[in-house]
Amino acid sequence: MRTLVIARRELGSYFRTALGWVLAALFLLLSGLVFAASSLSPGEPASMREFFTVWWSLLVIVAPAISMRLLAEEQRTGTLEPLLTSPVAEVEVVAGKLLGAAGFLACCLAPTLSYVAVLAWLAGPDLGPIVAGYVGVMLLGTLYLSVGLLFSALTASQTLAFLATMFFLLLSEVGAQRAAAHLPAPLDAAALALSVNLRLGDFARGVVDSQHVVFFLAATAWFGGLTALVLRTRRWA
Amino acid sequence: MIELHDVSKRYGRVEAVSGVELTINPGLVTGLLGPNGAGKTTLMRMITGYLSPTAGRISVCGHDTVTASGAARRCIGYLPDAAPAYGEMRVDGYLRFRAGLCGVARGQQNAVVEKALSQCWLSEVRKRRVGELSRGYRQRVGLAAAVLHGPAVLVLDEPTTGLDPGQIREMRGLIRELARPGEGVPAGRVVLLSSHIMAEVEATCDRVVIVHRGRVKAAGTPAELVGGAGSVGRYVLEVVLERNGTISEQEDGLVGVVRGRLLGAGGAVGGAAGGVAGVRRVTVIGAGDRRLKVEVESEAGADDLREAMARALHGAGVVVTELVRERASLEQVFLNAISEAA
Amino acid sequence: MMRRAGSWAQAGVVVFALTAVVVLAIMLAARFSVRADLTATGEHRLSDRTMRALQDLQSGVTVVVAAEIGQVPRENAQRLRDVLDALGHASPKVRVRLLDTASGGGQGQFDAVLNQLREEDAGVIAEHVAATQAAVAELRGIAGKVNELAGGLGGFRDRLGAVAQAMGGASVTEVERLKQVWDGQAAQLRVLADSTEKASREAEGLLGQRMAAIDVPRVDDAVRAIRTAADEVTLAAAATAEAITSRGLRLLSGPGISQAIAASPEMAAARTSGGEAEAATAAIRDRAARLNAALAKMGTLRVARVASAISRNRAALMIASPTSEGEKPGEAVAERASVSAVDVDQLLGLVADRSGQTVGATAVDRGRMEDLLAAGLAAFGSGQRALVVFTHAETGKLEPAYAPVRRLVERLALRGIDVAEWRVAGGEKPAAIAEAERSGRPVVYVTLSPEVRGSESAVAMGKLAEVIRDLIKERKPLLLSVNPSSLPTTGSEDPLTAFLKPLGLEADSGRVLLREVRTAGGRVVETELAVVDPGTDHPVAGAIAGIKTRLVWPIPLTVAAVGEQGTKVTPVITVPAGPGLWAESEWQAYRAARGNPSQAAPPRADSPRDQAGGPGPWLLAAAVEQGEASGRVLVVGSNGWYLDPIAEQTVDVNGRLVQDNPGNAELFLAGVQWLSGQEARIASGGESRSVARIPALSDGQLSALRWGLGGLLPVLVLLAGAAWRMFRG
Repeated sequence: MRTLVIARRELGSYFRTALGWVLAALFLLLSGLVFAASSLSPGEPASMREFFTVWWSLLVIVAPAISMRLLAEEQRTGTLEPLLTSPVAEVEVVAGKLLGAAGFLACCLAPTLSYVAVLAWLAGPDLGPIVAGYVGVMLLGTLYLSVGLLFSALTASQTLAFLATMFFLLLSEVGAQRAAAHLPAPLDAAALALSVNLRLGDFARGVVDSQHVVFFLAATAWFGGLTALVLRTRRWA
Repeated sequence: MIELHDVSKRYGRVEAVSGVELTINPGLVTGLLGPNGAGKTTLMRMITGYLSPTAGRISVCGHDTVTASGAARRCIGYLPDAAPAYGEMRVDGYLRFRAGLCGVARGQQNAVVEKALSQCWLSEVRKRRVGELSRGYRQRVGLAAAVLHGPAVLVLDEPTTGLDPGQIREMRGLIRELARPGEGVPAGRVVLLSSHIMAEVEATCDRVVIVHRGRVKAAGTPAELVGGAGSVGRYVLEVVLERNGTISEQEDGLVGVVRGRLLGAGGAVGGAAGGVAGVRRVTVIGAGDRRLKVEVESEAGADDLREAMARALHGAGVVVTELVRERASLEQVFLNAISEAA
Repeated sequence: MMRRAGSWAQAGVVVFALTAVVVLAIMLAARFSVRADLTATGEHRLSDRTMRALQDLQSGVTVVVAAEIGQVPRENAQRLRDVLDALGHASPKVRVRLLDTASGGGQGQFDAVLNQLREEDAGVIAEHVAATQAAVAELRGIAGKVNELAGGLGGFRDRLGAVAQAMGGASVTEVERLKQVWDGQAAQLRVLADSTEKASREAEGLLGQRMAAIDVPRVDDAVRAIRTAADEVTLAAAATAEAITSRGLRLLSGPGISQAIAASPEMAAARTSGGEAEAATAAIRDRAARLNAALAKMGTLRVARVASAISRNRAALMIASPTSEGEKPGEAVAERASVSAVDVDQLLGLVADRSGQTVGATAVDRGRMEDLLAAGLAAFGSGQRALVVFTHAETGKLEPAYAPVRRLVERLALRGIDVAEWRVAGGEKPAAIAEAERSGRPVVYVTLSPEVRGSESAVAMGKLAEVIRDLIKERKPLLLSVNPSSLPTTGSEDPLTAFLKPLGLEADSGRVLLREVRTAGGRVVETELAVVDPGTDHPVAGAIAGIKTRLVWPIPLTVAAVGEQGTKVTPVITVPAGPGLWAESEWQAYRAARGNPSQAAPPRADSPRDQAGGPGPWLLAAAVEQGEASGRVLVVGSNGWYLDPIAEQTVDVNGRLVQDNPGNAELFLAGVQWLSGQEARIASGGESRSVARIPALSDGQLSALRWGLGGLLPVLVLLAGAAWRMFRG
């Protein structure tokens, strides 16, 4: 309930500021270019697979840009104090913020449904992989947002939160695959299990695997839990 | 009721608050007075649960702020220093958001928000963005957000800073209003405010707690504090020589007469009276042709000496044109408290 | 202070617990995962057949596909990834790896895979090398013995001469002739000793060389060289023994020999000498045979199979993990397939395109990829290995080199199919084949019919026809290739097609299907057909649908009106009637002048015989079932289509060597699998399912769409934002 109150305010605040609209327009411009270049050429299969593949890499920039302000701004303007002294649990704050940010991500993605409409009008594509692709984007985006939320809780500077999140996301993905190539037998599988790219392949091809869904949700919960813990330990500072 | 037992807070090696023992009762406006950096804000943040005490216990309405943080926070309305709020939101939207946070059901949110808006004279700016409001209005928005859900405890950090004199008066009235028993709070609210301005506290508070360097230096009603042991009375006295009266050796004469009448032996001209009991010192602060202005200091704990002094001077050839008891000066008390610590 | 420390400890505990719960959740989810395939066509559901192949796996299998991914059509690479992933998810026994050999890392990983293989098999490789070295020494010893025998024959010749003189009745010239015969024998043996010695040196040299892709001695080639030499020695020794008996010893015990002479000391000496030579010859023969048998038993190294399957840094390998079920790699090699492979070019679509004319990258259907991989995995299943018996009338042996079908044999081995040989000229069915049949292994007979040339081979041909007739009578699985024959032209019956009639099929081996093509250079008559669409839905046809199959000197088949009771004929390959396509009856001259076309004018469809049977469609392959799934015969109206020169022909496409006629090998594999009742293992063809594609758009439409989606949409969003701020704020 309070989670929803926070989520609603958070989502609304993106639209109340120019930043939200500019971000949405910018992402739309990028994905429009990607779509026009990758999917919209005569003779190519009518699918959005390339589009999603590119979007996943775009998320490394997009998600931190959305998440950077979540807690850093509250710390800078001091609004964190009334928020944390209201009768709301830290977990509710984190969940609300995350939900709000994910909602904004969904709003950014919503106009891309027009691409689907165009494809449907042109060629009648298989909608299954497209649905799965959107599910994958949202799951991955929410995970990235939770990472960004954690960094946003650790600093009052939005810029720092943005950069730290982006580098963390880049390093963790590249690192997981590099590590998998060099680690011995049982560890390499563990490192590969942490790589999101391998899991995303399934979504792109239209397969929703429960283990991937659980992975993304659990990892999101982990970063969310850490964020809540950071908020809690602030009281002990 | 807020109870603090042996509360300390350390930031690294700095002890911001140490060993604070305090009980704050409902129905009264309690003021935390102290210079900047005295630990007022830290104390308030610990009470509201924003910070946890390093040692000691705080209970608000019987709920420990650490172990039952949620329940404790539920009965607190808090206006943080500088009244931070989401600048991009509209006033009513922000208040509705805060009402939601405090668990006010959606159906009642509008009523609650309306009440707070009118209570804090915000109705005419309800559709404005918080970030575009003047400081005074922002402060009121913060206060409205704090009182929205009718909390039993109100914690207001520097509620009047940035307000103009008129707004300050209104704010004081509102704060006193909030402390009174009312709907849902039969015993009145616990209102705790902080300030570094004496006049503010003196004017608003029923009870004052003086804090310095993280410790409670004094606590009580302003009268108690002013009248308490160690405080001296001060009077300003102006006399003129009677029209036809003459006093030899004028220069010294008038002073001598006044001193003699007030202090008794030593300054005598025309009598050996014992002077006025309780007068400790008489200092000349101004002298004219036929007039004299002195400051009289009474013994600590002495009663009002104005009448006695007037009587003593009467018939001595001088006319008392002004006799003022200088009010007390909580400032004195405050400065005393601070200097003692030093 | 205590409280603060406590709170940090508490935070630590919370982090630990949170991490533990999350990791546990992820691990449990990985264990009990459910996959929902949202595609409308169920693209990622594996077929039942693939699932059966996976369930039937007897050991862990690593599927390695290595290629320069950048050169593979993007769609194919994506599909391959999909299929590999699906396989990896479907069975815990399957590990998949897709390596890009264009990248340093991918090449390194590929090398690592091969190195690991080599290390796993190090023991077996060492054993094989040691055994081969011993075999080299043995072969050298045999060569020495042959040399000795040559000397020994000289002694025998001298003794024989003495006997002949003593007999008196014999003239001097007779003695001289005898001497010459034996000189000749000795000389032949010396040559044999020499070539055997040479073979041993060659084998030794091969042992010093390394396999193409893997740093392992070329044991397999060395073994092949030794076995060929040993085989020669065995044959020559047998011939020598025969000569000693017929031309020497028999002379000494013939009826014309008087008692006196028979009892003479010269005679006794000659007998002893002849006996010694005979014994020595027999010893050599046995020794060579033993050597051959021992090497044959040794089997082929896993790495050798891998090396044969790797072509120019491309490979699609399936490697059984040797450690499972406590097997040693060597045993695995002997008992069950340890390595199987899929034609990587077909998997990646680097084959002839649908027109059958040009070559290049083509789209490969996902189902085809799955089938190819599943067919490879089936080799690790529990089913018994099929045995292909090349039945032929040649005098020479195919074994061990299988010269004209060597690549095919390697392919078969990689699909878990063994080969054997039955020389009908050599007599009865070899015991090993009969043994395999008794043990219930599927045995498929494949005829390898050469062209009829001299009368000697006509006799052999008759023998082959007899064997085939018997095989059909016994309802053995049979793959029959029809050769053009000049006999029908002369009015007589072709013995190699006569037995088809009871099956309900007729092959017009007197006529070949020719195609007339008009080019800028004039009229050209082609003597081969490239079949891309087999035109039927027979499972075997499915295997070659969409890929090019090349049939040379094709012979039309016709379904006879009456067959024997219970036989069923199903068309496999039909070619529609087309312009310029006719069955020519006077083709011999053209064929004889092949390679020198200027010498013979291309034939024309001019005689009434050419017109018989109408303009087509033409049946080029048919499947016959004599009963319910038994007595299967597959008849292909062409000969030599599965021989390496045709089936393994490669072309260079942009510097990439790819197989030109992939359908030929596929037709053979699918045919064998259908004949052995394993049609479940047949990979479906290259026919791709339809995929919704962006239709052709005019430049205007395209740029309108691009600008609209790429530019207009963001602007609209910004406008919406401005409106929002204006009206709501």
